[in-house]
Amino acid sequence: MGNTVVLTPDNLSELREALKQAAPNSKILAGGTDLVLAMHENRCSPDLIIDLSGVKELKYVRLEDGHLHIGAVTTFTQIKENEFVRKHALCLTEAAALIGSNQIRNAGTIGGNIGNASPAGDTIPVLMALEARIRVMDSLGQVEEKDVDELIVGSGKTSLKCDQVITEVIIPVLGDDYRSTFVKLGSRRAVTISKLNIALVVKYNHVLNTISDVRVGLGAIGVKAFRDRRVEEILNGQQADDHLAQVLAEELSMTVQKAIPGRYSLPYKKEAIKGLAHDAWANLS
Amino acid sequence: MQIEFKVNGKSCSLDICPTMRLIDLLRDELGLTGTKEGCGEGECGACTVIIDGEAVNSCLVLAPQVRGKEIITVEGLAGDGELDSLQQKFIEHSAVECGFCTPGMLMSAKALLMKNPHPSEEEIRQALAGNLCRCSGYSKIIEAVKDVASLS
Amino acid sequence: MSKGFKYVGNTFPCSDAARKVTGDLLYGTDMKLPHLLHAKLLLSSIPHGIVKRIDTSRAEKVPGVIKIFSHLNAPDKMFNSFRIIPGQELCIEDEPLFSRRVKYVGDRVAAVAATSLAAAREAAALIDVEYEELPALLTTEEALSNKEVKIQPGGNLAHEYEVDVGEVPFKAEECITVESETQTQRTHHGALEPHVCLAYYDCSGKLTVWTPTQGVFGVRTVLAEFFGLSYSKVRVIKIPMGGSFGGKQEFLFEPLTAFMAMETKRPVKLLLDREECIIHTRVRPAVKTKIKTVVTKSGKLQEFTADSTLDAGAFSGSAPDYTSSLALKVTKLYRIPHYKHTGRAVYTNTVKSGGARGWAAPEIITATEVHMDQVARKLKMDPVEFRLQNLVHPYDLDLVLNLSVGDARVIECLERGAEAFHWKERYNQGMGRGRYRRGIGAACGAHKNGMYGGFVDCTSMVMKMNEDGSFNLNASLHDVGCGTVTAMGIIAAEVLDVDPNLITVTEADTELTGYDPGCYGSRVIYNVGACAKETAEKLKEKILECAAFILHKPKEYLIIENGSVFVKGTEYLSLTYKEIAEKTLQENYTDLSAAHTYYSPSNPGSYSVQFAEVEVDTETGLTRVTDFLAVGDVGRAINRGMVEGQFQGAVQMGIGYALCEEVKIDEQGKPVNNSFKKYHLVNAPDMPDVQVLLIEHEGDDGPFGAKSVGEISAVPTAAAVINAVNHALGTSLSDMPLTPEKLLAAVKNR
Repeated sequence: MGNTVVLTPDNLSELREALKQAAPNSKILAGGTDLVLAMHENRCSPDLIIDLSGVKELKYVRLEDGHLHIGAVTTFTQIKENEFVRKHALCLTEAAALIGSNQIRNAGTIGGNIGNASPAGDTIPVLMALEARIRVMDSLGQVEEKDVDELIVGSGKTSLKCDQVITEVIIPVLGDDYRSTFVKLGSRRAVTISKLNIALVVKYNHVLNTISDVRVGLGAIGVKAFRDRRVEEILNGQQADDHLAQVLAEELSMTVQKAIPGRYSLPYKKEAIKGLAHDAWANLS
Repeated sequence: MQIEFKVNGKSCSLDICPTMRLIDLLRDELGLTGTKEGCGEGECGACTVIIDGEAVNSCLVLAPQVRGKEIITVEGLAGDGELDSLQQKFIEHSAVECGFCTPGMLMSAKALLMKNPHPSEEEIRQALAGNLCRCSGYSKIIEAVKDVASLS
Repeated sequence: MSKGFKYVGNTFPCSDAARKVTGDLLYGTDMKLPHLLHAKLLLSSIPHGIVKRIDTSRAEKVPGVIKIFSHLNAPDKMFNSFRIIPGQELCIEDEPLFSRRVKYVGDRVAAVAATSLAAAREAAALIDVEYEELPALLTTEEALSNKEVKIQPGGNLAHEYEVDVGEVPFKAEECITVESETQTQRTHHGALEPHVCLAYYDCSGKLTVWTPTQGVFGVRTVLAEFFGLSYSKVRVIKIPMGGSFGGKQEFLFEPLTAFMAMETKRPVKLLLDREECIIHTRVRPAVKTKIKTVVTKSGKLQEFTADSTLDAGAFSGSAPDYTSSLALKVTKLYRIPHYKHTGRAVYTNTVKSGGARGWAAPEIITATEVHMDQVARKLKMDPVEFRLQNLVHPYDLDLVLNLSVGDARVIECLERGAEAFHWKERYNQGMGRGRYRRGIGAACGAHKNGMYGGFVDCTSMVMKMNEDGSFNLNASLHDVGCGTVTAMGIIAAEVLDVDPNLITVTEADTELTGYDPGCYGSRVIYNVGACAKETAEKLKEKILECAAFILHKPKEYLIIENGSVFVKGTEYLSLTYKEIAEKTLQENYTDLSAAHTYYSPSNPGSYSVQFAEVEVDTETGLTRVTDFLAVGDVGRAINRGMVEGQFQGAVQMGIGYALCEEVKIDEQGKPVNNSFKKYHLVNAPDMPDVQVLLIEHEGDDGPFGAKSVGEISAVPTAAAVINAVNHALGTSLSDMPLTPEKLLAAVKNR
C-alpha cells in the first residue's frame, strides 16, 4: 500500500489529465465511505487513486431543460436537502435520507453509490425507476450517457473503462401528475443495509383514480437491482385502490420467488416484500 | 504528499502518506487522540469529526480528501479553557460513562446543533443514529442535547 | 425513607467526565511509550486443524517488522484466563499463547510486532499458513455425540453439575405441568473500546502491564505463574476502560503482550480491531435450557426442574464456573419447594465463551421468565399475579446456596412497577388486529452481591487526610466506565461530611494499592463500597481523636460537620480539617491515615423487574420496543444519575439480546456477524426512553444500604421483551434472538 499514488485533481481538466494515468488497478474515490474501508481491510489495494473530492465542478444539483442534473460527487445530504430533488424526484430524496447514518450521508456521494454497484445500493433502483441517464467522461474528455442498467453489470461491477468516471446523473423531471416513493427494509430503522428496497413511480390520474407509466425498481434481490417490467404491466392503467395495493404486494412477492429461488433469504423476503409494498403504496397516496 | 488544512482553527501543512485515513492523521500525526476508533468501518461513530460543518466518520476519509478543509475535533470544542455548553450538559446529565463514544457523540450533536439549533427529540435520535453507545441506552445523552437546544 | 444524606443519592458526574468530554483522557489505544512496538494478531481461518507450516518470509520483509511470533517460537505452556487466585478450583489451563492445533475460526496463530501498527497489519496479512483440517464440531449436540473428535484431551464434555434441593411437596391441590425449551444465543459484549494491552519488561526483571482490566491482581497471578516471576516483580496497572460488560474481565491478552515485550525487550502494545473483538476474544455463551415446572391450579410453584447445556467454545476458561452459576439464580427469585437443575458445558469448535454481564443470570432468568409466562397462560392467570404468588420474600432462605436472600424487595418492585406501567389496563387491552400488534411483557430477575459464600471477597484500602484538609482514598478500583471511582468518593464524603471533590480516589495498581479480587460478581458497591465507608469511618475516628487532643475535649463531645470538627453545643470551639491536619503533623508528628480490610459478611439478592411494550410489524417482522420501565431493588442509590444510566444502558443490551444480537457461526464454522455492520447494537432511533424506578431500603450490609446494580439491571430485560412479543402475537417463542425472519415465520405458522 505504500506505493499507492493519490491524484487530487481540483477541476475537470485536471481530472482528465489524471484519468490518463488510470490503469486496471486504479480506483476512483468519490466520498470514500466504501473505498477507504476496503483499503483498510486489505480487500483492495489500488496502485492509483483519483480523488474526486476536490473537483467542485462535480458537486451540484441543477434543474435544466426539464431534467435534474446532479453532479457525481454530490453527497446524499445535499441531495436529501435539495428542493428541486424533493419536488421533482421525491423517491430520490427519500432514498438519500435513508442511506446509512448522518455521517455516511455527509460523505457518501451519488456517483460513488452507482460506481460501487452494491446489490443493496439504495439509489440504484431509484435511478432505474426515474429512468436516469448516467453521464460518463473519459481521459480525452469524451462524454457518453448510459442507462443505470447498462452501467451496472453485476455485484460490484460496472461497464466503466478504467479511464472513465461518472460525472453526472440526469433525471427527467417527473410531471406534477407523477408520484414517487422509495422504501427499504433493513434489520433496524436507521443505519442499515437494505434487505429489500423498492422504488415506485406512477403517473396518477386523479379524475379516473388510475395509474399509468408505472415504474418499479427493486434492489437487494439478487446481484443487481432491476426494473420489474412484469409488475409494471400488471399495474398500468389500473384503478388505484386497496385491491391494487394487494396486487402489488402479491406480484412483488412472486417476483422475489422467481428472482432468488432456493436462496436462504427467500422465505423471509417473499413475505416481507408484501409489507414493504404496502408501505410504498401508502406513501404514494 | 503535502496537504494543507485547518484543525480546530489552526492551519496545518503536513507531508503525509497519501493512503492514510483521516483518523490516523489526527491521532498519530497530530496527537489528537480524543477521536476514537471503535469499529473502523463507519458504524460506531466514535471517530466522528466535523469537516466544513458536517459530521463525518474520520475512519472513512482518506487524508488527501481534507485538503483545504476545516476540521473540528473534540479537542476543538472547548474554547480557552471553557467547556462548550454541550460538554457541560453531557457532564451534568450523567451522559458520560465509559467515555469512549463521548467524543463522537459530542461531534454529531454539535454538527446537528450548528445546522439546527432547536431539534426535536426524533431529529436528535436520527442525528445520533450513527453513534453507538453501550453504556447509557442514549437517554441521558439525548437529555443533554435537548437541554443545550433549549438554552439558546 | 430519606435519611437526610448530603451526598449519597444525589447525582454526580463521573470523576473523569471533564477529561472524557474534551478528549483529554488517554485510553490504552491512545497511550504511547518510548520505543513502543505495535502488535497485530493473525487468527485461524479454519475451525479445527493443525498448523502444518507457517511461512513468514514475505511478512518479514515489511519494513518495520521486528519479530513474528507463533507456536514455533513461543512456549507451549498453557494458561487459564480466569485464574484470579493461585489455587482457584475449576481453572483448567488449556489456552496456549499460540495454537498449533487451532480450535476455532479466530484462534490465535501468530502475531507480528513492528514499529508501527500499519506495518504490523501489513505483515500479518502476508503470513502464509498451511493447515491440515480436522473435522469441526460446531454445535454442542455434535460435540456430545461425536466420540471420535476430541476438542480437548479429556473429551468434549467440559463440565457437569447437578443441584437438587428441597423436597417434592405433598400435593393437596391438583397441579399442571408445563415444559419449555429456550435457546439463548452467543453475543458480543460490544464495549466501544476494543481490547488493548501494553507491556514492558525492563532490564531489572520487572514486568509492567497497563491494561483496562477488571482485576489487576488476577492478571498478576496469571502472568507471574506463567512466566515464573515473583508476584512482586509483576506490576499491573489498571488504565481507563471504554466499557467491558465482562468482555475484559478475563486475562486474555496480558500474557501474550508480556511475552512479546520480554522477547523484543521493548514495550509492546496489542490493540485489537472490531472483528478480532467479535471473533477472537470471548462471547456470552449460548445456552439451551429445558424447564419443567409443576404448579398448582391456583398458581403455586411446586417443582422446578431444569437442564441446561452451555456452549463453552474451544477452551475451558471460565465455562465451568459460569455453567455452575446457571443453577444459582432461580432460587434467589422464586420460592420453590423442590428445585433440581442439571447442566453441562460442552466444548465446540467455536469462539470461546466467557464472562458476560450477569454471569449466567440473563441466560437462565430469560429461560425461566419466558417459561413463567407460559405457565401463567396455561393457568389463565395474569402473569404478574402468578409471579406475585411465588416470588421470594425478604430474608427467605436461598435453598441452593443456603444463604439469606436478604432484604429482597422483588415483590415491591413488581407491585410498584405494575402500577406505574398501568399493567392491568394495558395487559387486558388486546393486541390489535391489524398489521401492527402491540403487546406488553414483564419479567423479574435476581442476581447476587459479591462472592461471599463461594469465593474470596475482601478488599483493602488506605485513606489519608492531607495538610489542606483534602483526602486521598487509595483503593484497588477497576472502573469499567460506570463511575465506581466517583461512587467511592461519594461514600467517603458522606462519612466525612466533605465535598466529594476534595477526595481523590485511585484505581488499581498491584504495586501501590491494596488487595482486591476485582470488579465483578456484583461486588463493587456492596463490598468495595462498604470498605470505603469503613475506611472513611476509621479515618474519621482518627480525626476526632486528634481534634480531641488539640481541643482538650473528650472525643465523645465532638461532632463532624461540613469539613470541620465541633464541640457539641459550642459553636465557637471548632477546628477545620485543615487545621487538624496541620497541627497534627506539625505538633504531634502524626500522619492522619487509616488502613482497613473489609471482609464481606453476606450476599443478599439484588432484584429488578422490567416491563416492556412492543409493536410488531406482522408483515416485515420488525419489532420496536415502544415503552420500557425498569424497576430496581438497589438498596440505596449512591449516585442516582449513574444508577439510572446503568439500567438504561442494560436495557439497550437486553433489547439487542432479545431481538437482534447474535454472533452466528455458519456451517463452515465462520462467524457471520464479524463487524458492527452485521452485528447490530440497538441505536438511538430504536431505543425507547427507558424509565427507571428505584426501590430503596437498607436492610443489607452495603454502604448506606446500597446493593449492586450493574449486572442485575441486565438480567430480566430480554425476557420482558420476549414476553411482550409473545403477548402481541399470541405465540410462545423462545429461540433467541427473535429476528424478523423468525417472527415472520411464526406469524405465518400461527
